[in-house]
Amino acid sequence: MAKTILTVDDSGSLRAMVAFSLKAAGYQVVEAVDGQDGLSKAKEKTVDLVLTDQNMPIMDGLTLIRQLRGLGSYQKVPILMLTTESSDEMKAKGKAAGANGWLVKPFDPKRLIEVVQKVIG
Amino acid sequence: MSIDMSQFYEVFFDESDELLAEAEHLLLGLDIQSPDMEDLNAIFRAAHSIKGGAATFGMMDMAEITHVLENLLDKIRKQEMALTAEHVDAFLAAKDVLKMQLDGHRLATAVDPEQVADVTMMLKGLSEGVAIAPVPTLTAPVAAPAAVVSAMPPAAPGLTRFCLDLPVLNERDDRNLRDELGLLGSVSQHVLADGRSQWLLDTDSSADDILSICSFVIDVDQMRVSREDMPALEAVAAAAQHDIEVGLEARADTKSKSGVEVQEEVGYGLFETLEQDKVEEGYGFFAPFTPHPDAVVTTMIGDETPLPAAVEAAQRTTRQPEKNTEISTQKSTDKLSDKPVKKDNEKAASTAETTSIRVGVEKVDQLINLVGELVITQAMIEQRIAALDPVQHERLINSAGQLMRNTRDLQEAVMSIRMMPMDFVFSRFPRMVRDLAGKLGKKVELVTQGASTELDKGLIERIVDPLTHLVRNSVDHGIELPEQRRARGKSETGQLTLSAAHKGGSIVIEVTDDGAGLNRERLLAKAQQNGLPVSENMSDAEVYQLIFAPGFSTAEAVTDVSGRGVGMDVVKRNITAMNGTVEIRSVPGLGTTISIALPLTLAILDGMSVSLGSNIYVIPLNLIVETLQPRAQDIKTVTGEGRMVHVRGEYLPIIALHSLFNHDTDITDPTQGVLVLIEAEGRKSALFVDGLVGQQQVVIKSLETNYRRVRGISGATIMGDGSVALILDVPAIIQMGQSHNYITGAAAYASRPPQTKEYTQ
Repeated sequence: MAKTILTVDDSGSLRAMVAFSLKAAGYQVVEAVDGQDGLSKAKEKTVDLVLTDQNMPIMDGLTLIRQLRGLGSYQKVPILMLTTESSDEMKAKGKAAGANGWLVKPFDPKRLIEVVQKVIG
Repeated sequence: MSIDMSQFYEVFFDESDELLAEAEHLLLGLDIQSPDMEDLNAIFRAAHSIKGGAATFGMMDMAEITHVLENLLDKIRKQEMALTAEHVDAFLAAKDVLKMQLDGHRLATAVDPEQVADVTMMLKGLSEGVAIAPVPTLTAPVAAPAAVVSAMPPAAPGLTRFCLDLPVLNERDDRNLRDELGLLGSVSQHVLADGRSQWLLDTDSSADDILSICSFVIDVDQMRVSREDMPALEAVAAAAQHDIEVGLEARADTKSKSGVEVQEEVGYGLFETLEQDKVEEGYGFFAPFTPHPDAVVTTMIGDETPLPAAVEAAQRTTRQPEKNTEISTQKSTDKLSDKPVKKDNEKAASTAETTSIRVGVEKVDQLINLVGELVITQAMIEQRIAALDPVQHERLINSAGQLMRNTRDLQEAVMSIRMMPMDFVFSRFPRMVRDLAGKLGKKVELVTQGASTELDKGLIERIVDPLTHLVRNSVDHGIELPEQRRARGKSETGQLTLSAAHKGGSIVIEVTDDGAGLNRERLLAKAQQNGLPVSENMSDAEVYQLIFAPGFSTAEAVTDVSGRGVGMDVVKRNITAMNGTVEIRSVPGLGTTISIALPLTLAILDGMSVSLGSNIYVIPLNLIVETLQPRAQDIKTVTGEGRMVHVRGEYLPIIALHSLFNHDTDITDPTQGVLVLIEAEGRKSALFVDGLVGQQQVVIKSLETNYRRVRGISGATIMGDGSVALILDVPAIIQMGQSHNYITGAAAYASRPPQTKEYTQ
């Protein structure tokens, strides 16, 4: 069965690009427009991987990651941050929040798939 | 796998367009003294999102500007730099450049490289320029000056550094003071977060000299001058010093904590992982990575490359950096609870957009036309059925009733597709008013009301130009210069209100200013000069309508903004072409309101059918005040044929439609027929017709395109029985009635719209 990936980004164009690329690679995609939306979508569906932006209205990516890690069912689901901020500080924060990795924006769809395949196959 | 990125361009363009508009809106609303953090964050996010998208989709020019913009905004939102008016100007200029670049990519329009370079320079200059030292959060406001002092290079030998603590001054005073103090020595200036500004002056003059210079622009009680080495209020300063130390310590503390954190990560293999992925720069996995069990299996089977980090990590227990998590959670919760509920709702509304689809306007128009035809067909069926025996055809009649309801629902649903909020038009004015006011040296505050009121897309597009003209006029001619306003006892800042509201079957859009108002005498004099027919006993509303005459301008000075006497007649013509009416209310010295009433849509009209001999006419329902059957004693003949009807204390001229249109009818006595009271452009009249037929929605067909323009008729429609009925052009009818010599002497009695009410609210 195709793996389901939750992509959380407030930018519609990036979300569209990510979703399209993932679908083309054979994954199922659930889209969310901000952290809060991501959290409720994550609760509704079973997700194999979460890709989240950091800077979003209502709830940012780090908060989303923390909230997800607080849920029993998301303690072990891989979470990657898709972010423009690739400073060590940001990575430290992401790691502390419970992210498993990061991918810096802008990225090529090919690169995205490559990383996703490394994580969930 | 290769993916064509261009398929996402359109989404990115739309999204960026929206973000730019939103950013502009927020920028214009920013209070420079104490900007709303949430707004700053939203502006930052807009720049950030555009940057991300632009970089992803290869629009590097936009990415570059947004990058600089983002950096600057980040400093401001982190309070490392205080917001100034120059910032806002630069941001607005950057918005314009981004919009230009966006259109360049989207529509292949020209991009002015000079403008781009200017803005980039401006932004870069600002982000490297005056930055106040980060004010530690624990520090009391009084402590801030000292904090800055310590961040500045020391004063040159022989000079004393004075620290001036002043309220933030207006631009002119600020400039003057800077120039004056500049004569004493070198000045630097910082705006503090609490609405005060701090100046540092390295000089050999005395504190008294400084005070006497400052007293020109500011009450010396409101300021404080201290020598760097000898604080004016030692106790306060000492306390402040203590606070700073605490603040700095706290900061240092945080730093060391995060330093430790990074260190630990190295220990746990974060950098190890990074190194391993060095070839593939741009992503990484954190060491304590516990992948999904499935994932490990699949990776091993499906992928040649194992996942060392993951495997390694799986053997470790996940480390919980408890303390840090706690702190950051606390922070983010605060951030969330700070947010006003209203904003959440707005955001929720924007989320809803993700479920919308884009459809060409021509498809929607086709749908509307088809529904229009359906409405006519349905009305025909209804008419046929009305002639049938209700008992024998009960079920058919019930079905027809159902059809009628469904048709009406369908029509409403289809019409709503074309509806757009007035905000679409209003949103362009804050910027325009700001720029105009700046150019004219006026202070204007723009207030919009009812921006969510919806109007047909076609009308929205056509109302932009007239409304732009009216707003320009209000700022240019209506609102006075600050000095004049002060002299008249008004606040220096003029208020310009744009409002939209539903009123009956129409939408009323008003442009109100609290400026000088229209001058009746000057209008009359000017009209006479232009050879327009005027009389002293014209009502104010009628006098004001004179400004719509071609070539009419009373402006004393012709500015490059407006006042060349062209335009108002065009405004009027545009609005009339939309089946709309314009009305002016004004009180000298208090302001002017220009009120535009438009039908909700161009395609369908709620009408009242009236009979006249063997003919049927349709009167737009929204222009009908009431209908009545007059008693003989209420009808007064003034002179000749001019008849008036007395309705609740008002005398209204009677316009006999049969006489106006030369129709034969048996009913020539108003008491035998019906009077329909109509109102347009501030004037009321009683239209005398044979009788009322019924109220119905009619689909408007243009008479002009099918026949030719006929005065007093705005269009035609096909009735249920297939016959054609003409739709009356009410404003024209009222005018025709007047010139038809029916209402001699009536003008004096014609109702006047309320005039003072508008301004006392």
